[in-house]
Amino acid sequence: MERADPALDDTAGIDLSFAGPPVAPALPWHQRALDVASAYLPLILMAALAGATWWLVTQAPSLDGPAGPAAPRHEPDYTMTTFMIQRFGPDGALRTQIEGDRLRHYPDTDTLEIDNPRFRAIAADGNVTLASAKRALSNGDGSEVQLFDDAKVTRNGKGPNDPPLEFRSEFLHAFRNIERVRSNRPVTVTQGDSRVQADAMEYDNLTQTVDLKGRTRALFESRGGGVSR
Amino acid sequence: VKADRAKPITVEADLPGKIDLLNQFVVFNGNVVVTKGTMTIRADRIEVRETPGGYHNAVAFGSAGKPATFRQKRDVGDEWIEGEAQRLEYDGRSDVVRFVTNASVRRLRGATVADEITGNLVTYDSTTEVFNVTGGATPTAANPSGRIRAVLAPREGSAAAADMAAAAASAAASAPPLRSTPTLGTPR
Repeated sequence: MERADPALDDTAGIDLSFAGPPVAPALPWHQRALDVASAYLPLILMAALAGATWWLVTQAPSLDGPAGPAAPRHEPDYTMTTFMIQRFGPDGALRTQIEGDRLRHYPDTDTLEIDNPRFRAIAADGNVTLASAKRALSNGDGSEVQLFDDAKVTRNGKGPNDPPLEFRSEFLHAFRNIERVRSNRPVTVTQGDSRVQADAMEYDNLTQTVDLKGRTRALFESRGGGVSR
Repeated sequence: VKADRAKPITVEADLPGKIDLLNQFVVFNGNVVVTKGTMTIRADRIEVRETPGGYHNAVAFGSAGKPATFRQKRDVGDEWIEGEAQRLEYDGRSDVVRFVTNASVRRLRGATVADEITGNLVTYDSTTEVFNVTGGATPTAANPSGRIRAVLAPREGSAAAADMAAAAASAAASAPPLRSTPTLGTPR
């Protein structure tokens, strides 16, 4: 817009402050450039900073997003050495006790692998069952235990004339819930002076029977025969 | 043989068996052979039961074609007692063997049959070496009348035995010698 005619500039006494500061005369270009620069300097700086940050973000290694279910690796998530696990029933009585040299828990299959285990299970009727082996594989809650190498399960008898019953084999598979002990390898069942061997066997604690499979052999010491002990 | 009393009983079988812990007995199946000292019992199925006193009784079940058989050496000389029956009960404490139904028990001197007793029920007490036999109505091939039948040979070394041996020798000269089967188990 064209400036007003200087002849009309007789309004000396009139307050013209509403019109804002008097317009400064034009500055040389470098001064103006400096002014613009100093005016816009913070903006430029911020822009530079933003650019740098943006650059930084693109360079940063992208976090692998929530990975899909990782392929379960058969690795123990916790191990225990020279341990003892005790499990108590609701009434506070000791139900099972597991001792061993080393224990490894595998999360993918939720199994426990124990070296040199010694199990002790006390049934509701007070019947104590002991088990031991070189290596054991048990599922999460210990209701199914497989014993390998020199496996031995001993069920204590109820009274004097009920001597403890012992199973000995290279492999024994004990099911606590259905109270069975099974083996598909040659097994020796010993009670008192009687010893029975078979190629495989299944012991059912509920019906108190042992099904012997394959060829069977037995030896009965006649205690009454005055055999010198 | 008296020495058998103290000997352990060993059992061998081919087919699956069962142990019943409540009643303390073990069942064996398939060509079962029970040996105790010089005594051997063979059958298709044998149950060995432990008596509270710690003795073991065995009940041997023969099948129709194959009776349960028993064989034990006697203390005196080279004499064996052999017997068979549909069912054979051996009592470990009193050492008595009961041959039940179609029982026939033989006393052998070496390989020759000295005495033979057939009847329905024969009990043989190996400590006192006494047989007693009760007759039964069931006639068998060997014993059509079902009554007790005993064939007794004269005692060895007695005069009668000598005469019989002489007679037998002359008869044997003509007839082929009778030989009883050394291994048992095949039906007579």
